[in-house]
Amino acid sequence: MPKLSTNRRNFLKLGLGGIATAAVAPHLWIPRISRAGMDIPRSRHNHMLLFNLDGGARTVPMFNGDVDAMWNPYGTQSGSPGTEWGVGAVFDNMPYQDTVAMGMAAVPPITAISHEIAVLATIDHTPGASSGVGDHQTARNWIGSGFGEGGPGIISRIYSGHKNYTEGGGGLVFPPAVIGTGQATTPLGIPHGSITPVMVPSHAEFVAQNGDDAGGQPAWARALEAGLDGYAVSSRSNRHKQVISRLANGKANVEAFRNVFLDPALKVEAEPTGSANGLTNAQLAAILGTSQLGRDTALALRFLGYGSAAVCIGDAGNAAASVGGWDTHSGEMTAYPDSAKNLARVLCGVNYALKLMPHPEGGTYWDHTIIGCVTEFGRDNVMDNGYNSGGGSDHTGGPGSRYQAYFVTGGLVTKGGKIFGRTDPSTMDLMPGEPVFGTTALYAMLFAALDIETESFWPGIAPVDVVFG
Amino acid sequence: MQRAAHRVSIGVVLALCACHRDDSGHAGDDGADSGTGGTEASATAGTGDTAATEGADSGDATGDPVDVCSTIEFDNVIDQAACPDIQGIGVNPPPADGVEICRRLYIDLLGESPTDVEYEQHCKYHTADELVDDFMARPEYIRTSQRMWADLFQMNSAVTHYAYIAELDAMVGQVYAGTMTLGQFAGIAATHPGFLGRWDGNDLVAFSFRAFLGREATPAERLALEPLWHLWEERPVADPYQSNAKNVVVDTLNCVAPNEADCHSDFWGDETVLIAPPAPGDQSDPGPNILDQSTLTDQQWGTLRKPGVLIAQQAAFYESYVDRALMRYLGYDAGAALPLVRQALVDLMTQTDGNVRAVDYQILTSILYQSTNRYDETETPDDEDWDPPYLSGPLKQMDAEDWLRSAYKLAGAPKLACDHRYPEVQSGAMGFHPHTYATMPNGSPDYELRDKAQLLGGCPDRVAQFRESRTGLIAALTQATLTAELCAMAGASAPIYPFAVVDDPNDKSEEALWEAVDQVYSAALIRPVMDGATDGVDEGITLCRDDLECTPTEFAVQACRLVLKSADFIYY
Repeated sequence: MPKLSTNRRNFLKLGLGGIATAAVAPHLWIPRISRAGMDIPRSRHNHMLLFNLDGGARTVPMFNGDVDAMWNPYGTQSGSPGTEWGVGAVFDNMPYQDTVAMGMAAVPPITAISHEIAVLATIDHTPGASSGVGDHQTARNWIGSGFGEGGPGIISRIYSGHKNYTEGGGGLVFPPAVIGTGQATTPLGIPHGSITPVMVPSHAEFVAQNGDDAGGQPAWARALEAGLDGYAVSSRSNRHKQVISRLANGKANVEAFRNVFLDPALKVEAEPTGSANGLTNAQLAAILGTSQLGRDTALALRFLGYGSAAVCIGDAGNAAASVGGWDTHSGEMTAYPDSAKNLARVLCGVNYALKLMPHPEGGTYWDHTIIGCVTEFGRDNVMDNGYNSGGGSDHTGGPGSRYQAYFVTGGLVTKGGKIFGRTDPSTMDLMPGEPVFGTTALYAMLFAALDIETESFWPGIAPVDVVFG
Repeated sequence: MQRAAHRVSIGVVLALCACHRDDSGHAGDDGADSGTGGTEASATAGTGDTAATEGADSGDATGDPVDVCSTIEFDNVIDQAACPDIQGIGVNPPPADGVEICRRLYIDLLGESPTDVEYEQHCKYHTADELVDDFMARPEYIRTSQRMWADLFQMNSAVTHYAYIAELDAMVGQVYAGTMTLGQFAGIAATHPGFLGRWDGNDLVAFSFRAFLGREATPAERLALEPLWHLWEERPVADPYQSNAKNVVVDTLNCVAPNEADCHSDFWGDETVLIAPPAPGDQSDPGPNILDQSTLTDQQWGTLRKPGVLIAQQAAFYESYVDRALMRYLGYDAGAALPLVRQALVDLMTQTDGNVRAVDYQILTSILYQSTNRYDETETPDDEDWDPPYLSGPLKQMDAEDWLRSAYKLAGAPKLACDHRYPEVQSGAMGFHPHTYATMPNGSPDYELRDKAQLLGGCPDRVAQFRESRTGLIAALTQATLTAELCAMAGASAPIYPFAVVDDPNDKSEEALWEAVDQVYSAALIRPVMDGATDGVDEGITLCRDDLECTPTEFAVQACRLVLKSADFIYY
């Protein structure tokens, strides 16, 4: 695997503790920016919000609904003017009213904001391969790392490659974060060397982890602890140094971000009056809903507000499914609609909330954020009625599970409402002449928006850029 | 040539110096000694009173590594297999000293870190191999092994009938007690109701592969092999201790004509798993053609257990167990790094007809396992230049549950382990189903330990959470929060404060504070603060002495916290 071009040791000096104020780190790599990628609005001040639908979500009925009933048994509905993608009828189409009681406008449903959402309908982990990926582990490797064999998680790569953390100059910047415990979500936080992102199981568990004192300890205790841990690191092999350094780095970050952790705004459920970036927690609850996904997304917005470049939120969907929430091998017709509706509710809330959050670089967080999703695969092995014999759907790697429909939205996306990559409505095969978008190319796009070069570890992968320009 | 070239870059295993800076520490004379290094150490490593470790002997290896190894006698099959990559290139990893090996075995086999008292009672006067014998004979070894399989099978009575889980778990216990072979176990487990009650359809193939073949089944394999499990289904059943209980049944109607092919697979040979309906034509459900698994005859079981039997015949079957055991005890993929070691253990399994204890024993008594993990290597950022992991002893992170239980024990409030079978105990009209959690006054299970361990990836629910070793900011924050609670709770009689630590609450002398931190450290780690860490401790003590708010008592409490969340304690 290609090596990092940035110097790991300099990163340790600069980034650990999250204190990004030092001089410019050596930066030897000259990125090869493809012409196609030139349209991507790159900035270190941008943010990424990524939803990971654990288990392999059936994305086609939600975001590429104009296919036969076999592939979308839920039907479609009209979207807002300018919408070209098939908006699934599985979504609610009435405004969410919880905000009204707080003197705010209702949150528009997805049918009212679909023109702000672009869809990549032919996302494929292995473009050009004879078949798609149908097993969980390989798929998790792809979405975790951008490599079929797995490797450092993409959120860890963002931490190790983002200029806010490698070059400093941005003050105290909260690290990238992963929220969730799903087997498809946590791989996005697999360490990159000694670099580990913030890994939070959920908003509720985060409160318990934080305690009342956010890990506070006196300066003399920190010195003593650093002495003990320092020797534990120095007396080990390089590979063990790296492992133990993650612990030491974590402790340094606890201290650096203690004031952040003491902020009641991070207790998104327990402290309704906690406020940041122009919104109280009570308002966020009304905007995003109070589901696990809604609360976790509220915490994600708080992390973005503290400067985090990227947050990935795992969505367990319907927890009653046999393997993972969205892994609807059976009972899909009752379980799936709830998962889809809840996802839409939160997406609409994100659209609403980010537009109310002023960004330190001007405009709002909506203007500086790209929002997307990943999941292991889509679903197939269905009969004409849209389900398998158990009322669910499987994932064999055939066209129905191979070509996934991912949404991309946010103020950085200029081609909202469009769909890119068309599939045959009856077979889900790729239509002639239509593009296929690799998962890694999708990640390259997200990284480019954050102004992180990817050529050094994903050589030859041109970022997807069709949703821009 | 390649090996010879590699040899020049290897680091040197540190001569482990646990002697106190002024030789006054109580453990300097019993906790830090080691046996001799090299190949003979496998028999003598441990708590002998011989003098200091000599460090890695990376002296000249003369000639071909295979020739070098042919001159060395081994009593451990994997030491012999690993020799060309270790001694054959001139490396003789020194053994871990008595304290290091005691902690390693204690945590790996008994699931908790020993206190200094437990070290005295159970480790001090025994060789490493004697400790392996002793600990493998204990029920805790069975339990830690059962926990591993419970994770593999994702046991959870919210999904599966608790009684099925208990039976399957007990069967794992038989495997590790040596009364059932791995092949026998697979033959039963792949169609055990505790397994069948957890998954459906293609997932039964997928999770059989994970558990017994160590990899994901491909989509083609899942589709092709599912017919072997096609008869199995579940039906709700009334159970006074589990309101959501389901029984596993055989629905013989699933493959009646013309659907016989649904129970046939030609993937691993022409195999049909078919039970003819006892009452042809009867479609009722429940009815005579829906057979509860408890009513099946031996002959029917013989047919239905075909999938597990076939799995146990696959070439990867033993290899999968070996790789998992190597990862469990060494913490790295030794099967891939040292293929000859993997093969030696696969051969051993073949010879012993699938005795997992034989495999575990060979690993635990090997130089790979019993070497010290202190190691001096020139720092370089390029991991391709790093020494291979097998040149030093293993270093692993404690499981969150084990860490927490150890910390509770040191704080004077020992806790029962999570019931690895049941992340969430279910209940019915007659109350909760049987479990091993402590019970609250109101009769419900005490989940205090479970809930805290889950914050760090332990005691997972196996539906939305799975066991993991968490590090980084939030893990450190959680450890800081939990240790603050524990150390505030620990009274003067807690093991973490062996001599109540603070003799004189007004004595802030350097000597008094050093004694305090040494006592706390020794209680948890069975040796005083190591020489290499003294500068940091000195700095902390100086800062405390300059800080009016730092009292000796506060110093002791903070010492408790930082020792419990120290790298020395968490990594072993």
